[in-house]
Amino acid sequence: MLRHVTENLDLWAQGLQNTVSLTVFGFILGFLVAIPIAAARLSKHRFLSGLAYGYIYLVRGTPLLVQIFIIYYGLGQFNKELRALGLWWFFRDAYNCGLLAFTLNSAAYQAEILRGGIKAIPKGTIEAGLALGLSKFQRFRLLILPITVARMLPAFGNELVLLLKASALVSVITVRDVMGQARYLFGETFDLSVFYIAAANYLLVVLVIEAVWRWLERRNVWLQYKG
Amino acid sequence: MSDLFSLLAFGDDGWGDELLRGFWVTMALALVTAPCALAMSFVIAWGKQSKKKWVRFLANGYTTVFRSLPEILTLLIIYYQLQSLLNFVARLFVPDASISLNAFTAGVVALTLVFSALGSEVVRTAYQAVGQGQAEAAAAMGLHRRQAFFLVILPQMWRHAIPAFGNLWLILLKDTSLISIIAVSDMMRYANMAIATTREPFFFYTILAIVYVILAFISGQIQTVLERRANRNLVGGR
Repeated sequence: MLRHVTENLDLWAQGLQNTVSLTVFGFILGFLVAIPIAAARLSKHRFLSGLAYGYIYLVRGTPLLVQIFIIYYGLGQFNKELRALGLWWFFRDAYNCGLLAFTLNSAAYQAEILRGGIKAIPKGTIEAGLALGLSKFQRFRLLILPITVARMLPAFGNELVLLLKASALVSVITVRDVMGQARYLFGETFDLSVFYIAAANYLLVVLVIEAVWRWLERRNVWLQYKG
Repeated sequence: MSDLFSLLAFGDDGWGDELLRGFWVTMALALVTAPCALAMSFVIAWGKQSKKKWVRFLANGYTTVFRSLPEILTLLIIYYQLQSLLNFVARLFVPDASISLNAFTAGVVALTLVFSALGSEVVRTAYQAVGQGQAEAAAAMGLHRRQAFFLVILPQMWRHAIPAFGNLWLILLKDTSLISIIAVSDMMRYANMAIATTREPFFFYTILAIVYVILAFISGQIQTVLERRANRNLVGGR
């Protein structure tokens, strides 16, 4: 079993790098996209909030595998049009397609987390911001966002782990992440232990995420007051 | 556009009947897995509050492992490992036996492992939500421990567990699409076959997405009914 690790150390390192980068970038980009979606969802305009609700419903109602296939194979069908738009270089690469799918997928889930957090913010906080003469954007950036993120940290941590697990799906569209390397090595050697090595990799990353999250949650205890 | 929809025709020149057959395989997988996973969830949750330390350790380890591993990895490990394990056991009795494990069964086992790990947490929180007082009251009424659980605690647990189980059911429905990877002819696999001949990936994957969304919608409606039923005896209940 160890032979598969030592002989293919660079393969596994490459795989781990792909898995971690897909997860982390997908999570961060997803968060950035989630902010406007959550804002639209909480908006008083029925059309805007309906649009955001529809997006969230569609993304959460369909398998991520289908979403990845639609972006990678489905959009690949329109390569003439994409070439004309100068976007083909992006959609040609399976890694990019996977990252786009994760971003759009995670954005829907994170928008729901943000929405729940924002709705639970006590009115007094906003009123205090108003009394201090903060603008709408300042209130959002200085009050609402940090408090929501701090309070919703456990939910975000959950989402990050889910995204890590979901990242294994890109192996189906030929990306060489940890799962992809395991499937490649299994095809070469027919030795099942490569899957157990992959399993150890994923467990390790989950443990790291949990440790980082414990540290973050301890750091932000002061923001989690239930006033 | 009408050319595209003619691809969904039933019969030899359309893919409608194949996709429908795949749909039933998808539903069968989800409907067989759900009760298995539900039963397993209770067993694992029971293990988590056992008085024996090693039982607790095993139950918690089970949850940690199957919650951390990607479903597709669990699926592949079960698919290949179960096969060699079965062959190993069979060869103890018949020297040159060879069993080939049905991929559908492997899918049921793998998804049961994953979803019972998630479900055991749901059961545990629901059990705690019902409260120790109920168990004590049942004991005071002279009910046997098993009677107390099935007659007093379990009926009250559903109220707390149904929303979370509904969520898990939705995730399960979506995860069934993974078994197309181990060559089970579910909806996804038939769509892939259709795409291989027609070269219309966008159309077929969109159809799949629509089917999954409709399933999610129907599940949501059923969940609402079940929740109302579970709350019906609650005076002043929400």
